[in-house]
Amino acid sequence: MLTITIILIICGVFVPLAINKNSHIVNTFGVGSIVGLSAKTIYQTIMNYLAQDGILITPFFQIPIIILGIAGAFHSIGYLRGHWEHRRGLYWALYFLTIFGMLSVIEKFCSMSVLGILLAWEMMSLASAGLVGFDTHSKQTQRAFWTYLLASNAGAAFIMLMFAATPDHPILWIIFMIIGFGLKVGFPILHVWLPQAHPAAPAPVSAIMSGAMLNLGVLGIIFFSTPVAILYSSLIGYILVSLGVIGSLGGILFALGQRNIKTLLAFSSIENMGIISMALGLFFISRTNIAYQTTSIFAIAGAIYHIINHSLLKGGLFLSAGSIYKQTGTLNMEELGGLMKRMPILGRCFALNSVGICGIPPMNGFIGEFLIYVAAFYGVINGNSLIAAISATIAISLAFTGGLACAAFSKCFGACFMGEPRTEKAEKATEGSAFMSAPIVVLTILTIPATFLAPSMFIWISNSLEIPTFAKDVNILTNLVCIIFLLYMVIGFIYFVHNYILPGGRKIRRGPTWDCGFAKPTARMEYTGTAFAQPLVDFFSPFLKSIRKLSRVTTNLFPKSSEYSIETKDAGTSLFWDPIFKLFSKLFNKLHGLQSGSLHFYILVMVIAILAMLIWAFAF
Amino acid sequence: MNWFICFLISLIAAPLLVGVINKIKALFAGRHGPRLLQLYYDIFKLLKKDRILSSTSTCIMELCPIINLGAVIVATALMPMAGYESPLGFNGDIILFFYLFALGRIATIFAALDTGSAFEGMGASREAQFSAIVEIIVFTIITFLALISAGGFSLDLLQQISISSTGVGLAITPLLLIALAFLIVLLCENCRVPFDDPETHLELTMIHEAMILDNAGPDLAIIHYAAALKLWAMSGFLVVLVLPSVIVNGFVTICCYLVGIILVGIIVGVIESILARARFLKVPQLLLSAFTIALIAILLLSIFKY
Repeated sequence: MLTITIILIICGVFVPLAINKNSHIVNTFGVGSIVGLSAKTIYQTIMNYLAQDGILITPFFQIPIIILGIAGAFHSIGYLRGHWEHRRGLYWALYFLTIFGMLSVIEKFCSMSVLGILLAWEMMSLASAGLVGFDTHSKQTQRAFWTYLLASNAGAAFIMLMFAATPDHPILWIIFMIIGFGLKVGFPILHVWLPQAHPAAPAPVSAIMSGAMLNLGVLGIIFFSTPVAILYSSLIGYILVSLGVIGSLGGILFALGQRNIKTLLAFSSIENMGIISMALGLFFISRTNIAYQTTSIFAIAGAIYHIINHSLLKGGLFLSAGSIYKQTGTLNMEELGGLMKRMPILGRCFALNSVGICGIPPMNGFIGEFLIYVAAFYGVINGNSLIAAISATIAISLAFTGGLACAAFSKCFGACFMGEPRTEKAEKATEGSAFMSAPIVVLTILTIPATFLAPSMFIWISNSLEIPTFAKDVNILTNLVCIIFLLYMVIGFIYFVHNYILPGGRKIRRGPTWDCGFAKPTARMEYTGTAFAQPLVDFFSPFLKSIRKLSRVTTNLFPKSSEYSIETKDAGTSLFWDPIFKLFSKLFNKLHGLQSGSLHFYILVMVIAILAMLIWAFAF
Repeated sequence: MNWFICFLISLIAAPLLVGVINKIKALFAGRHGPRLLQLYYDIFKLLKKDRILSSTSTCIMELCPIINLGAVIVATALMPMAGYESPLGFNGDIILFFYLFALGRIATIFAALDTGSAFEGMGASREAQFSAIVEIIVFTIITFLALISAGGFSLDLLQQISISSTGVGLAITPLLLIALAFLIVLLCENCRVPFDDPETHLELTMIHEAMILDNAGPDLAIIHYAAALKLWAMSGFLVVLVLPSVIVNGFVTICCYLVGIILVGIIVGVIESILARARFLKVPQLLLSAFTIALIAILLLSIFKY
């Protein structure tokens, strides 16, 4: 196995770095090494499974990495065409190291070697940071790179602190664990890097970061809560539920206010991670109590199922955003429109993935949320008051999140793909290379087995956690899947009748869109994405703090053109972190006086320091 | 078997409910009003016409009315009717029931945006806003039902709730509050006054009608029928929620059930006649008050129960 790994590293890192220019050889080595790595991981996992060795929950986290890793690799070939030709090798090397880092993090989690975990975690963070800042010319990208690097290293530092605290200090252990892994998951306030890094990174990298890397934070919390789980399970649960509720609602509200597709998707990732941590929290709260066994099974199954679904759907959406950027040169949805006709395959995939990520049947996203609802309602049914209240809160906020997600994604899909193109860039868009569309299509098709395999997945999840399942619990899912199948059948039947039986000689006619008698409606008369979200953004303006600018309003007889802009910035950055960083830079500015340039002063400082050390050494 | 009869009656008689509402409104206004069967005539007339699609639109516009109708039919098929359990029912179907309506709604929103018209965009935007708030109320109501039934949360259990709660007596007050909250949801979801005016043709004041401006012919017929069936299914939910359903014999129970649904239609008609449409800025407040009502019901129930 070690030999294979070394060969893979040589093929994935050194060969591309050595060639380091755009050629088919580099691309082949890049994709080939990712595929090889995936094959090796799958082989190892199956071997472990057969040997009944290792912790069986890990495949649920390896599957997204492998699927998105390969999909992203193929997408990269198309995405990178014409970009960074002379640094192609570096891209592939970093890409390989990111995937390799993520897979080894999982491996090291299982073997519980502290040094291994830290090294793998750092490799994953650094390699992906290199990819986030790959576009060295843009100032915004550089800012995103530093934010991401800072956040990842702070996360790693807190994980180190957690190991230093050891489970003997459970409260410290829990706090450091939540902050350390929470920085990766993107809990509220700790999420600052997400809305910056995702728009900056190349699309395939955003896809693997959002779809696979965030999950590892969740896995970390699952793994490292075990040592303190006996007494403090509920405490972890309460923290996770409250972070989850705030994260999911806040994330989707901020998503509503965005114009950049990838920023919207990044905020939606925060929302989905919030949903996952709500479910996880419910699991932690209910698992210590025998009476809530059903709740805990459904909660953990819902969390893991939602992780897989989120990976497939969000991976597809980020890759689609990459294709849009590649073909039009913009990610601003107000400059797009009408892409459905120009990129039909991409449009259909985007529509399906959006419906899925909102948690609407018949897509797979619904099944994950359904499991969480079932968990919550079982908590309500046989609850003591506290668990019942928490469950009710989870159910209601999940419902609200779902409703807002529908609004956010119909805004995104509507503004990008529907109507007429708003600019020339969108007008000239085409489907693009097959390397870019094929992974998106595959990811979208994979949602179908993810829907219909729900009952067996449920059994698999509970088996891997060694929780017994009951036939009545599995029956719920079997019934659900059957009804979803029935829904497909009914829709298909109506479609058949409507298109082949009813027409009987009647024609389909085309005409312009009705616009109150306007003879020539133009794209400027369309409803924009901002206008679509405006009622909700206004309604929540106390939380969102959108910045409105109205300029050059003249009250003269002949008004000149005026501008109105509305921008929703991340409140976590502007309200929490910016003041803190400003405070610190002020404090450090005061220390500026130390650097006076006079040698005598420096020697004085050194003498004081040595004296202090001497005193400390002798006194204690 | 009896359930199938009810289901068939629902599929056939759904447009009738809209006729009842319109008749009541006409009575209040002192008009003769359209015939009870007017919607049937409209649907048949529309089915005979050509399909006209906007040249801006894509396959979304062709597919979405069909998806909407499919979702509503499956949702209706999940409903227990007149005391008979649906063969499709399972523990948790109540979640699916409301999510199927959400599927229909997002399909309508997508189709509205597909035309690229400002009016339809406006309607879709409002629909998205109100439905997000409606979701909270709906799931508060489901939480209440889960709490009161204390055994599961399927639609079928709704019927047992009404029976047992009449026995308990105390639980009637919260149940009526929940019914009131659900009535508000029903009005909002089915685009009735005070949320939306199905009569008006001034695009700026409409939600649902604004979203379907560009649909014509068979597509419009499908949309009208789906809207009527949705109204029927939600009225059925309200009836099952409030009326104690004791199966005496098949025929009588089915008649009682139908009378109940017609009663809901009459109530909606009366509300539409005596209320004006609320300003759009006030609608979220109205919805949030329904949410508060549902919360109070949960509070009362937990006080009675524990």
